[in-house]
Amino acid sequence: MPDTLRLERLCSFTHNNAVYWTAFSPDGETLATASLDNTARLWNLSTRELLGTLIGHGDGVAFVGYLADGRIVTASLDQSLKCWPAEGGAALMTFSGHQGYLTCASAARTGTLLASGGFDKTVRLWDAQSNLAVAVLSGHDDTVQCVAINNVGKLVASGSEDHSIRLWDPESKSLLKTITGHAGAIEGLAFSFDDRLLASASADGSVRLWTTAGDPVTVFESKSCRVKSVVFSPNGRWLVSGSSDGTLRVWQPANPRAVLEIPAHKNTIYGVAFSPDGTLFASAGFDRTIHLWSVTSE
Amino acid sequence: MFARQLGIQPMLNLFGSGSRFCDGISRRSLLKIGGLAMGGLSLPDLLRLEAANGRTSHKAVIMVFLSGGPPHQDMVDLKMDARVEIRGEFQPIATNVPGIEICELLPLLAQRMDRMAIIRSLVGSEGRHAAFQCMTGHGVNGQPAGGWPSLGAAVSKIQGSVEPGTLPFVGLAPRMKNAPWGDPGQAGFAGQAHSPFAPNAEQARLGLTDISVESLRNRRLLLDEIDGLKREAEKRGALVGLESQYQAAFGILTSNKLIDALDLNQEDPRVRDRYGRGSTENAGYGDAGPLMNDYLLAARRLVEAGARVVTLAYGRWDWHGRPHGTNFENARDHLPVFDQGLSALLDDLRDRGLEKDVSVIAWGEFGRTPVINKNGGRDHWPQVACALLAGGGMRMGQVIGSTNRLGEHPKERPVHFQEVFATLYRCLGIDVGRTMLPDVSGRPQYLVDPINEPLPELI
Repeated sequence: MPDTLRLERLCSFTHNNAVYWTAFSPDGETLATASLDNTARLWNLSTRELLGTLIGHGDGVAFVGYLADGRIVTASLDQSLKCWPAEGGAALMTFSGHQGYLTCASAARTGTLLASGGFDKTVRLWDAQSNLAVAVLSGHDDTVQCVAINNVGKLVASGSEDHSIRLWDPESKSLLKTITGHAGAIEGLAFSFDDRLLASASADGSVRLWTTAGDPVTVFESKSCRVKSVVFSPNGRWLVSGSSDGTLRVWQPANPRAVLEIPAHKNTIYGVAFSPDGTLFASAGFDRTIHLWSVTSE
Repeated sequence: MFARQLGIQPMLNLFGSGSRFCDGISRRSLLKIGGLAMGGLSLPDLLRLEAANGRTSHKAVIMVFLSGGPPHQDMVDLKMDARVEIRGEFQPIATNVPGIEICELLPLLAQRMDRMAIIRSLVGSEGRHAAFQCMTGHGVNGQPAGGWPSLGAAVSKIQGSVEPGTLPFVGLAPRMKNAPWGDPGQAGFAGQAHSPFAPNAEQARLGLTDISVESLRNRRLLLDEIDGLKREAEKRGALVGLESQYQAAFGILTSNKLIDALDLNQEDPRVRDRYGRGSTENAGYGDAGPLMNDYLLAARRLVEAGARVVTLAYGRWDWHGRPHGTNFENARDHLPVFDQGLSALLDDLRDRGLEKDVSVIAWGEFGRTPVINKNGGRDHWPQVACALLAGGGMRMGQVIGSTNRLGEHPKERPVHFQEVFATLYRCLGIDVGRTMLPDVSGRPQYLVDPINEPLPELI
């Protein structure tokens, strides 16, 4: 069975400051990027031109994502999240409540659930349908650095400077499990597309795989510095991480060593994403750059 | 004043107000560029002053203000024997001067160490987030009547213009959210006539704020308008009978030298590429100077066009850590650009025979904490900082001073900001031990406290 991933760089986009996140639209036609320059930008993947800029946040934008209906969600260090029309323009709604920098967010692939975390050590849930705050989930002992909602919108994972991962039930708004094992801050989290696995990236230099029940599966040691970002390929065969040394590493569940290492950025890679059909990949870095890659396997 | 006798507005607005250029800039605001930036009816005053002063050889200073306080221990004073919480992420590299090492992110400067001097023990910072101390050598508190003049203002007052039609003091800092970082150097008791010509801080965009093709096209139109204005003035005889200072002042405003110096489109693109060009966007969150290497090139061009002091605010170095990026992420962002730009400037000055006349200094308002905070940042550390100097006929290829093992405080040869200023004034041909300027109360003031002398290591 062919199982070698190839990434070929197609083009690059830039912001005026570090790029913190990137996401493909559900139809795969647009790439959204979030930056410390206080904006999010939308890029047409056919023409590779800038479609628009989302302006309205008062500090760096840490996250941009899409809801199933095509609306765009941004989250900013200014402690707010905003929803925008798919084509850009003025913000439709704003969520606020965090009592410190908002550092991370996630949008459910199905439904309208949003999650965010930040310096106030809380995970907050929001409903992009009703425009209401749903829950404030407390328990982490330090800054929440990353958060992820699984694909069916029934499980929320959060990672913190306190070295722990916490799994939350968004319906009961309760803690399901605290996962330990990393020796450093949790910097990135991602669910597999079949919702069976959770990957965590850590400042301890490792990427770990867990079942969504919180049981350990695999440890990938990158022997690099901080691993900042992680994502599964849609087919579940690969895991790609981005590190503070600017390197992309491709992992396979059965292999403890990276099967591919690409020096991709001149600075920390904050965001990684696959297109819904798995044919494109994007990486976003503190070097103000987003690289778009074609994905092939053999 | 003569202008009023002619029934025209001051500020050399020869044809009254209301007329606007194609990009919405009024003639008045255009003419303000030279005038208001220099404090009202300043150019004639300046030229009178120039006439009253003897000429000196054209020594100059280019001051690169690293807004926010650069991390000395991650640039030129790496502490590899310290524990990891202090040491940081970078490795030292050898320079072309045996025994001197600097950060691995400054490889181009490392190869030019023989043409630089590093001060590792800069002290006396008042710990204020502002350009003021780097521009004046003094703290904000306890200023004499009228306030301390910046280096450029004092030099403008003492030495005047290099020749008619040139400006002695230019500040390239743009407007920024944190105004104290955008201070290009105040006039203080030198008088508003000696404020910097500040093309990027004015609303009128004669300067370098936009380097897009469109803006260049507009600026070309703007320059065409200036030419038209000049022709119209000559045709109407509006300049006839004006005081010679006014004619000269008008000459500055319409001076090809000045405009050419600011028009980097006239520079060989290969030279701009060597500098690295850079971004016109204010760095950080719009609150600090842009990481704009074109401005370093513009500084050289302005010196060649007669400027004695050119200041610029460069980048945002206030790296407290996440969520705005760790100290090290920001260093990886800034240092390579700074390395390229400053190296190109040093090469350019040497290649154009300016190295002995033009002093270059790059520094910030303070250093940063030895201990890396929990967010991967370093906080303010006024106890010690660093400075990079070059050119000016100074003795290069050396490190002055040292810090203790953890980079907390000077171990050898503490150097005060004012000693650096005494050195820069000396390079400009001004003896701070003998030169005094009256403050607005008429009391004579030394430019720096007389206890401070030029650094003997450099002179």
